[in-house]
Amino acid sequence: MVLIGIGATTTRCTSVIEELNVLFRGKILVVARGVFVIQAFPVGGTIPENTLQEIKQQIQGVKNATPLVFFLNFETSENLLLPSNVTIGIPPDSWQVLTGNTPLKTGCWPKNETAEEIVVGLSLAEQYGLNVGSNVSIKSRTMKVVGILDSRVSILSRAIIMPLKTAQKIYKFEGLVSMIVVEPEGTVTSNELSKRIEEEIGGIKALTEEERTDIIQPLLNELERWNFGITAALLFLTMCLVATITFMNISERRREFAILDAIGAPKITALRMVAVETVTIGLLGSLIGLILGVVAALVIVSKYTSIPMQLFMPNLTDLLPLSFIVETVGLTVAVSCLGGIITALIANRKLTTEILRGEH
Amino acid sequence: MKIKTVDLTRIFHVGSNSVVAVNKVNLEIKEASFVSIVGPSGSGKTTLLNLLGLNDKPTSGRIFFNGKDVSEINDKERRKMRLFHIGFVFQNFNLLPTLTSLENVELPLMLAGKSSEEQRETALHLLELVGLSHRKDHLPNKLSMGEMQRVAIARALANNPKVVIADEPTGELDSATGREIIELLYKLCSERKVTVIVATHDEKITRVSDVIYKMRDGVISV
Repeated sequence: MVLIGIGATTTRCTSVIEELNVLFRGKILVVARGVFVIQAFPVGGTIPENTLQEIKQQIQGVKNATPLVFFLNFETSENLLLPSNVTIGIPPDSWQVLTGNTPLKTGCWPKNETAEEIVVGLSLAEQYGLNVGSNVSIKSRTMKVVGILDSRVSILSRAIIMPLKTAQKIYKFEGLVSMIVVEPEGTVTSNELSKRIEEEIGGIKALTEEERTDIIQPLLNELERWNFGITAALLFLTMCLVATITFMNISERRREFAILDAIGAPKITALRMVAVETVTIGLLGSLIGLILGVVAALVIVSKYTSIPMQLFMPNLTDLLPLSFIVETVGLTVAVSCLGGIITALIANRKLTTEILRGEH
Repeated sequence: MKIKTVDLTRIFHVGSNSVVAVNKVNLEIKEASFVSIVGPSGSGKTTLLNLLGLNDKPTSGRIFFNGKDVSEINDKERRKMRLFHIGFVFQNFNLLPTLTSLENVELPLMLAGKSSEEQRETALHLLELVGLSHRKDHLPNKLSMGEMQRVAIARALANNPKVVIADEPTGELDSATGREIIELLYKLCSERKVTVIVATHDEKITRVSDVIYKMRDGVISV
């Protein structure tokens, strides 16, 4: 169960990281040099806000440049491993740079760059019962919810989006931004533009989508390897357990096979009986195991993120893909059946007369 | 069914030792007779019954059922013989614990390919014959020893066998219940013309027997 929990959590992390890549597709991210970028977002590090003007004025081939601030928020009351939500500050006229075509479920975007208004992601809104008009306290400031973003993408569904100036003010980030999203003009490639930016402006790095993928790929590969290892270990343990139970069951029932043999039942009768039973045991066992595993995983993930379990339900297929269910159930049933039949064949080798006499 | 054995021998090999459990036994059992085999524990009675019941293969010698040599028939044919022509009653009943009385009796009928109606009808009739129709839905662990043995006899009779072999059928029973079982076996023999072969220490059984064989150290004498 713990293994399933860990496996599911790493699966979840992988899927969240992979989801991040859908943001800022085809754009260049300008971040502080030395900052580690997980797909679309830098972890820590800042650049001066006036870098934006330098990019716009000095660099040829820039169609658009948008500054963003990005803060991971951990619940202060609990010791959590993962952030429970993120705050993103972005200029009011640039919402689409972040959200693309994702619509607002209800409400509207904050009206101006200093408005103390926010748009929250669907998951956060559901968790805290937020609606348009609700008030939320952030860093001791009361912010008004003016919109709910209708997105199931992990990062956006847990996001608090507000005007850049407001975010800079309440997080004491004046004059600084986390990154600048640069959109190249049609006449220039991302690689060329990224090179120009890095040559012209010091202390920053400009990452194309390919470069961002290259940075994160080893981590994703590592997570995949962990997942594979955990899944394999899990399957092996399941097989051992089921085979042991089947073996015990068959050994206990050796006398029943002997009785069947004594009354003239064909050899196939006992094997058929074992096959039906082991398939049933394997099927039920693996399904119950999977359900318990998912519950365990959700409890663990929920505990370390403070996100209520029910909010993971819409993304349950990420946690437990159909292919994983089929593999687990299929392998468990096959091993259970095979283990049972092999054991039954071994049990059948002993002379019926010896087994029945052994009861005297 | 007439049963005849010629120099029937069964030797068990335990490590480097050989134990002659049945030693050149020659028997002739008439059709519809009630035969007892008596002898002390370890004399080879059970081994002989297992050989006669085709549960075991002889090391040497022959067994004839109605003149046909069955000592060399293959495993499939032996199973068929056990299913259709021989009923076996064990000292410790050997009922399937997860099946009810009725289902235990139905089992050989099912294995014989009878329809479910026929299985039900025959099994009910046999339970009635052994006086247990009121206990048909009970699992073995809810039955008394005598009741379990009666269910075992009903099961042995399911496919209307020509011979019933009983290995100490009263060994686990009190004397009153044992008497009921003996009467039942005797009734089978006399009314249904079934050959009954019983291994026993019980004098009550030997009293109703047509023939009594004595066995000692694997050797038989009348």
